[in-house]
Amino acid sequence: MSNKVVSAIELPALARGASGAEHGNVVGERLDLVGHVKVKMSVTLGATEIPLSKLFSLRNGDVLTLDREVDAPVDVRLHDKLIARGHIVAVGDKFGVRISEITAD
Amino acid sequence: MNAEARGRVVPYIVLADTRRAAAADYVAARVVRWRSDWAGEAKSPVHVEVLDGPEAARDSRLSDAACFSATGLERTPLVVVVPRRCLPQVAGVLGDAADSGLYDRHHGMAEQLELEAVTALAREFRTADALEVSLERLSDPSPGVIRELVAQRYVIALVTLGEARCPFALLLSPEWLSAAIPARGSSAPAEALERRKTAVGEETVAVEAILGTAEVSVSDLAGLCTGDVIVLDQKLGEAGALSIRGGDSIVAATPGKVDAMRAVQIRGTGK
Repeated sequence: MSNKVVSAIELPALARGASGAEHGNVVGERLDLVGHVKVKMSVTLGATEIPLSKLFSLRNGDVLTLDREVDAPVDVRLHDKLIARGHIVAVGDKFGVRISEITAD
Repeated sequence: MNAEARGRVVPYIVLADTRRAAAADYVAARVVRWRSDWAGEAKSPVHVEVLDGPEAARDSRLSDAACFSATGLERTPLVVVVPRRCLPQVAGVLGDAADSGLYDRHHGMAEQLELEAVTALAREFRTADALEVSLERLSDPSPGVIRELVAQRYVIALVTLGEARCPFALLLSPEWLSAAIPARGSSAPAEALERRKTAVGEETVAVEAILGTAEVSVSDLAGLCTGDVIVLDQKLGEAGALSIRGGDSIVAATPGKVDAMRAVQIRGTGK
């Protein structure tokens, strides 16, 4: 058993922005720090508006027509923000999207 | 909630309080069904106004000394008040106008309303234990009785039927409200929604069809260019998802087309 003394500790109260340090970002937008972080994009075929009564009564086999023409590009979204558009392709046995337009700044 | 009917009438108006609004929603829906059950096609507007507070008992529409009222047993917390002068009109709207013995059937009329309501409550809210379908008539159906019930925090739903604006009132006890309408944040939002489905059914919601998703690194995202191909996690032939815009996926959906437009076909289970 260790002889080290164990005692209670109280963290210091911190006041926002009161350290006297230089103002400005200390990290900045350094993508190299977060480059490995994964983000999830979703690809949207289109949308439509339906009454809740219809939503509640949807059944297998029901068809909903969307607001996009067949040849229109699909939307690529990140957290609901449109970042790109593209066209659907097959990549092996999976769906893919070939980017045709970058929309986000 | 203030539901505006298609066309010319506002079928019911409720005050802002959530629980009372839900009560009035319920009563309005119930009355529409009664009319439908009794008289075939519903022809006339229904107006439900929820009265509360000390002034409610003095409301002139409830102060008819000749009013008829009845209430249930201790655990049947519902009262129907039909001003005697309005019974023919009420009965007319509800479909009893052809009955020549109408004026002799006041008690039966109110009792029928009561039984309908209490039975419906027990069935609809699955609270049969708390809402026994048994009746006991008030011996003194006077405005004083109404004042006493209001003092006991009953909520009065004043229902006006038909172009003739013939009213009757349902008095909903605190016990009924707590049995029938869960408090905000309580455990049964899905059941509450089920009960209000009729009221919200005409509201529209935006849904979007998701083909699939892909995970990419921030560095890949930063370098994304036209011509790049993103591989999705969705296999060819597999269903995507239908989701509420900005919300969760609600059901699987297979992409396709209808004429020149994209479309999806619902494929059962939620994702």
